Amino acid sequence: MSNYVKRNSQGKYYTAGKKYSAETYASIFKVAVNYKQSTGAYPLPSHLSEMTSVSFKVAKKVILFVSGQSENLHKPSGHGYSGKGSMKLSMMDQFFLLGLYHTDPSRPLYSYCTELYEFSGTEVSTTTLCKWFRSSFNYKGTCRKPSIFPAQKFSQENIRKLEEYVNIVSYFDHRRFVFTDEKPMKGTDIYNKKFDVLPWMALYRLLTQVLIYATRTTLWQL
Amino acid sequence: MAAIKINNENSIDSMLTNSSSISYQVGKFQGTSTAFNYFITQLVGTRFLKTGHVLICDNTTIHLTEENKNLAEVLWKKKKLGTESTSLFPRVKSD
Repeated sequence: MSNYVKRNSQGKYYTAGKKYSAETYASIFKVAVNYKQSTGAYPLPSHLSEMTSVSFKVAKKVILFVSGQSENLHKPSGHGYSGKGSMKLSMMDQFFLLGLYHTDPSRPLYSYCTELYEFSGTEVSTTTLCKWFRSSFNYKGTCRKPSIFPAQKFSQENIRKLEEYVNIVSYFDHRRFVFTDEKPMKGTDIYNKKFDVLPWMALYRLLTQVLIYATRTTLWQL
Repeated sequence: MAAIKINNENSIDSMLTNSSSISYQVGKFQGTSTAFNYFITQLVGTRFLKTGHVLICDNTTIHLTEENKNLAEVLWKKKKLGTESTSLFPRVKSD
């Protein structure tokens, strides 16, 4: 997203998504330090905001930094590594977490935190571990809707059977065909509102599409 | 259980929306061989499945075993069985 100029509550223009320059911060520091020298205390964020025409958040960050309550003026945010302990997980820690998972997959997240802290002294939050379990492997750790057709749909065996089936049905008039199958009504079939009219109809549409298409194609070629 | 006839329909959608091309049955025991056997009986009884039709189904257990073990043979002899017996699929007595 391209940066664009915005106006804060004090009437000062700034570029969205871009931090203030070092000179701007230096001038704000100077105002805050001078205020302390004259009054004996740092100004309130709202007061500093009015004096320097920066936003309340920037003034608060500056005061925390100048007074020594905060080490960093800018914290990394947005995409990438963020949060408590996100950069701390070494390869050994990750193997240890996987071992814990295989030992007892149903253990809670805070159990991983305590076990890892006892193992290597690495302190991480449950949120970090949740993100790690979800995104550190080849497959996403979130819920997915599986495909109706399995992966072996186009296997050699299935293709051979399809060819055999087409060879057989090509001798018959396609108007004589009657396709039957059972469809047990379970959970999502009954309660899923995505289906149009009848739950099995969508399934049959897919099942018969392949068979009928193959049959008709063969018959028209004869 | 459901059955679909192709007839002279040109597309899948028109076939599915035509009630004469679809026969279905919703019951409690849909995944059993008995239910499938009963469903085939209903198809024959309602003339949905007639002489000359080709019945196509997948090779699952309930289509091939237990009460449907002789389904293919019975359907081939449907005309005779209809005149000889009131039951479409009589049980075969083992000697």
